[in-house]
Amino acid sequence: MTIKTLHTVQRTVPATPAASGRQRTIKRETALFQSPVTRYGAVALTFAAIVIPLITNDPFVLALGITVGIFSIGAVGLNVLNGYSGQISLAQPFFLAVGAFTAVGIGGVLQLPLPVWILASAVAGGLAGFVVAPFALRLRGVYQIVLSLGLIYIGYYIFVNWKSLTGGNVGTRASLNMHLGPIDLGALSLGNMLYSYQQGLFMVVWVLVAASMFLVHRILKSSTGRSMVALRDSDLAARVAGVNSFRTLSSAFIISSALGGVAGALYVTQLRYVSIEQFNLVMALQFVIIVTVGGLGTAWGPVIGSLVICSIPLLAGRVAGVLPFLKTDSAAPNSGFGIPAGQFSILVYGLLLILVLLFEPKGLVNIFSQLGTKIRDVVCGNRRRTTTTE
Amino acid sequence: MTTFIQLTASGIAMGCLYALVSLSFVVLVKATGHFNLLPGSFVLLGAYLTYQANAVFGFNFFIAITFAIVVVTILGVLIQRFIFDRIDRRATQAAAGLAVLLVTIGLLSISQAVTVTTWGADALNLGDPWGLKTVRVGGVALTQRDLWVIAITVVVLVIFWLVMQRTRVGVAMRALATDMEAALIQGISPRKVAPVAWVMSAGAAVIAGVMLSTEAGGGLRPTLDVVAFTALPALILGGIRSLPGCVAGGLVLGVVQMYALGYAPTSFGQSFAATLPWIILIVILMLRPNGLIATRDFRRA
Repeated sequence: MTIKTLHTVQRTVPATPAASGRQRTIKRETALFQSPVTRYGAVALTFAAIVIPLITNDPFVLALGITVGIFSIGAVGLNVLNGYSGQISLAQPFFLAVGAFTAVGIGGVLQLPLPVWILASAVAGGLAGFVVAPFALRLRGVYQIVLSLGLIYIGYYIFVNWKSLTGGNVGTRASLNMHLGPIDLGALSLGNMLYSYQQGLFMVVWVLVAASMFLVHRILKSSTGRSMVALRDSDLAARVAGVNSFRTLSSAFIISSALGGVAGALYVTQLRYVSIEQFNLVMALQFVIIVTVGGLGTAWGPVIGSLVICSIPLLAGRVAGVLPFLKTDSAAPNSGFGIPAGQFSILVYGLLLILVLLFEPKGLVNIFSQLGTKIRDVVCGNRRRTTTTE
Repeated sequence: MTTFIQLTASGIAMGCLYALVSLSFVVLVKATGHFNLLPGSFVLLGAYLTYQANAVFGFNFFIAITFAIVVVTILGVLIQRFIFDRIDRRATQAAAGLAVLLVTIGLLSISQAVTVTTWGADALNLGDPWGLKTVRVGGVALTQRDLWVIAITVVVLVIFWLVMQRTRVGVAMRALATDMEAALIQGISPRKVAPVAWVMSAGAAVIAGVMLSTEAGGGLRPTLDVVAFTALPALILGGIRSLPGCVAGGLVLGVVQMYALGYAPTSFGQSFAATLPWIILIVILMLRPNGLIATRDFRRA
């Protein structure tokens, strides 16, 4: 098509192919669900969140599922900051601690119902993020990393000395109120079926995973979200185009820390016990490893990462008696050479992280999506060969 | 008064260790161009390798330290050859910085797992020649260990200074850090300079690791790498690229922390002294985002 014909077409027909194509792209970008994978994935996730705990009461599956869910929520939050906004934070455990102790106060001491303490933890986490953001955003690179490390130490100092609420370094027991309106999710009953605390908690956790993924998904479709990605890809270009860097990145901090707060609140419910000692550097590294191994800046990366990273120690503990190179107890150094089960998982984290960074920087989620494309090509006879979305 | 002198002495000793660990970080930043957490692994592995050579193989204590430095240096050079260079070739500067940092987090996990697997999780006695003996100087009891720490740190710093100021390699290293392109045009090869940087970084970290594990009530333990991170405020205070800055930052923090440990009232709560460096760090970063001794702008790491 020559330029002249293009002009005539433009005059006669209001929507040229190019313009309507562009409109379609924008529509596709801002659509609720971009592809069948996300649409059916969201439905499947919500469905699984309700159904899995109804059909199984295997304590191992439930405990693993709850842990993966809690870490997923925290990682979905961290991914907004480290993945989509290109900032570097190791401080997620600090925000988990804020959320956890808010939940202890509101859901444990005051015994207010579930939605109240979940929201309160999100708000408290978000507020903490709001306070920290101006400090963190003044700094870049190394300085930002070290500041976020410092936040973990300062959080430890605050909470370890707030003994009335946190129990100091011994920790505190807290049974949070699990009522959602008239339903007690801690002791759910449907008809004459009774469900355990863990089953109810599994539902709560995974519905919240789906909700937080949806929230982040919606935010990314909004102008704030697109500004975040723009700032990550080119700071200068984005600012020239009129993106308010400070406001955008502050919101990234707030979203990230609010989700961290929710994860922290749920962290209390799993063992009905919490101690500031749990929110340490090891957890910080674990979160960073989860988002990186799963895939930085991807929707499903944090969940896949949590699934892989949280499964390893539990599975290693289970198979330690069977595999010859693993031992269950690290306190028995003279019982021949063997990797203690607890250390095995740390070893695997490290190896996974290095392998992913060297060979698949887009994370495990990219391996899965490529696999999915291949399967679809085979099943559909390679009719629609579209490029995979980033 | 005696308490004050004792606290000052232990503060300086502690500051020396901070200085050594942050020197290890700085030399690596200068040599590889990326901030990374490898010195944490070096501190840990260095201390355990010294233990291995001294207590298991039966070498003299100082030969054992040398052995540890050699092994750690070789590891470092291999890591650069097979991991850092690979990342550098592929990614852009900013992306490579993040990738290198994350890789070193992975290496940190691995070194920790390897340490616990090989040497167990319990604290070990390093078998250092000074033990818990004290020296009395005019009514003030100073631990021999503190004096050793200060003496060895001074020796290391003098060697570093001589290498950086008086040798061709040192000049080449400074040239590369100041202006990479100009240095390359002058025929300076980063490949020839890098091993020296790794020796320096490994040396500082291993010595710091050995000293850290001779602390009273501490011992050789697999959490030494986390202890090494407490030196990070000193590194930042020193402005991340300046060797003298790190030493100054380390000494200031060490002494201040010891005074806090000795004089802070109990109402300040548990682990106040451990948190103080981070609080100072944040206050200073707010006032001077480039560190106390500002060198070239390194905010865009």
